[in-house]
Amino acid sequence: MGEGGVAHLVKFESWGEFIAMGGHGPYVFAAYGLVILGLVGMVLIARANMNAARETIRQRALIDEVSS
Amino acid sequence: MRDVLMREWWVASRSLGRLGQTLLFMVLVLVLFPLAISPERAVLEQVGVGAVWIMSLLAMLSAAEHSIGPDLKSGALDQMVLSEIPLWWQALAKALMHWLTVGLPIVLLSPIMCLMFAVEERYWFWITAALFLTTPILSLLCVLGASLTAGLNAGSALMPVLVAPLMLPPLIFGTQWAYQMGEPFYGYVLAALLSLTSVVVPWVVSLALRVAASR
Amino acid sequence: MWRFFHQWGSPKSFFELSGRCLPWIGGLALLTLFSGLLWGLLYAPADYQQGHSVRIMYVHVPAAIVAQSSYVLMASCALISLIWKMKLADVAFTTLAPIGGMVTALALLTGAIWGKPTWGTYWVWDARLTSTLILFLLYAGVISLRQFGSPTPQGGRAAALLAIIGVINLPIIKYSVDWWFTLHQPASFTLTARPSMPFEMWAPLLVCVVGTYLWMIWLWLLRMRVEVIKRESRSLWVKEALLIS
Repeated sequence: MGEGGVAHLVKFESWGEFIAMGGHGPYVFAAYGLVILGLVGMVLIARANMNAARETIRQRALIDEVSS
Repeated sequence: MRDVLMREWWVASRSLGRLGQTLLFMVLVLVLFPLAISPERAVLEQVGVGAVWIMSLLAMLSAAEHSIGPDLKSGALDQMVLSEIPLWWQALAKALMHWLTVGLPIVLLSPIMCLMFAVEERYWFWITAALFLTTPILSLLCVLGASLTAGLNAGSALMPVLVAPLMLPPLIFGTQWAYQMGEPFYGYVLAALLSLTSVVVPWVVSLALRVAASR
Repeated sequence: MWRFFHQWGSPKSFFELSGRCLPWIGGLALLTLFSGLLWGLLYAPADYQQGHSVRIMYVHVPAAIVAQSSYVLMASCALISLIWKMKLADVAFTTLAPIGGMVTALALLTGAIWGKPTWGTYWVWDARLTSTLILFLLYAGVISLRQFGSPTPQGGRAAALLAIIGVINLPIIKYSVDWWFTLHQPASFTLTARPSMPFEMWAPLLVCVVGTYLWMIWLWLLRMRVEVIKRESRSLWVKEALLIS
């Protein structure tokens, strides 16, 4: 990401400062964490649903084949 | 006896959608208060505790009909009346399920409701505790109301009217207990009310269910 | 133009087309979001008054924007489903509603989290948060109502009507809430930084907004594909598409 070259643009002096966020650390990271969880989570759930639907249809097709 | 509990639980869990609707209803009332009165903290603080209570009461009333209505329609009620298992146990089971699906969520959500009504934080615990004691009483009363009006055409409109006066004592003592931050006297009264209600109401409900089954 | 609709209008061609687009949209969404969020978290300046908590803006504002526009999008699909009874329109409508609901919930939660360091409390009844809460209720209504109908355009009619009424109401609600709050709160709270945002702030915000939109479309396509194969599961093309002999 070229961060080595633009490292001096980062608004924090150290990791400690970054985590602390001027005292607002818990809030910022809670908000970001929640959103990332939600976004990633919904995609994963959709993917899982797709696999489940595939399986169901596959099973049904097999049953149809066997019974015909 | 345990089968009765299991059955009631099964019926209740089929309608978890109702739980969602009840909660939505509460959020709706939650929004109505500040918009109709004032969103300023100073005003909200004054009405906050009462508003939370009214919301809980309305939410419990709105879900009351479902404890008995479906059974009446499906004919399961007749079977209950005829079975060997005492009807008062059925009634108790219904009240328990109503509380688990409506009352308990209200208790668990009460801190958030307090937050949104700008209630001072020192009251929060006591409001939750008071709701924890009063919601079972309200559940029992809701089942009572539902059983009295089961099968009537205008029943669902009539039921809140019947039951609301009965709900006033728990309401009064519950809010006072919270306002007084746990003053033991009110706590004792509430506990007494709960004991009284849980003994008397199931018996009355069993009588009412017999009437309902014969409609 | 009609060929465009025709191509995307049949479940089968939708499935094929979306299958090809999906990796691109997904990749683009991830890339945009990742860089936007990183930019906002690390490189964007802190606010003069709010300090570093203003970084929450980069997740809250995109969520709020997407939440609102998704409702309009959803209502448009509902309208198409009602008028032309297109199967795919109902699929689009049904699958978008929960996405919108969840994004609205995220906007509410991040707004509350942002409120704590800014105003000292998690919840304040102001115009923005209140209308977001009302939007959430609107979504919840549509989602609940849709569950009662069959997975067909006919089954979705009641919910579609509700969505359309909701979208007509949206500007009315927003206007009344805004107007009422200017009466009650002469000093207006705003959750964003000052209206004239410097480039260093609105640029990452823009990237995050675009990224969130891309994510929304990605998720929407994913969910639509699942719904389509569920509804058309008896068709031959589904079996072929899923590589079942």
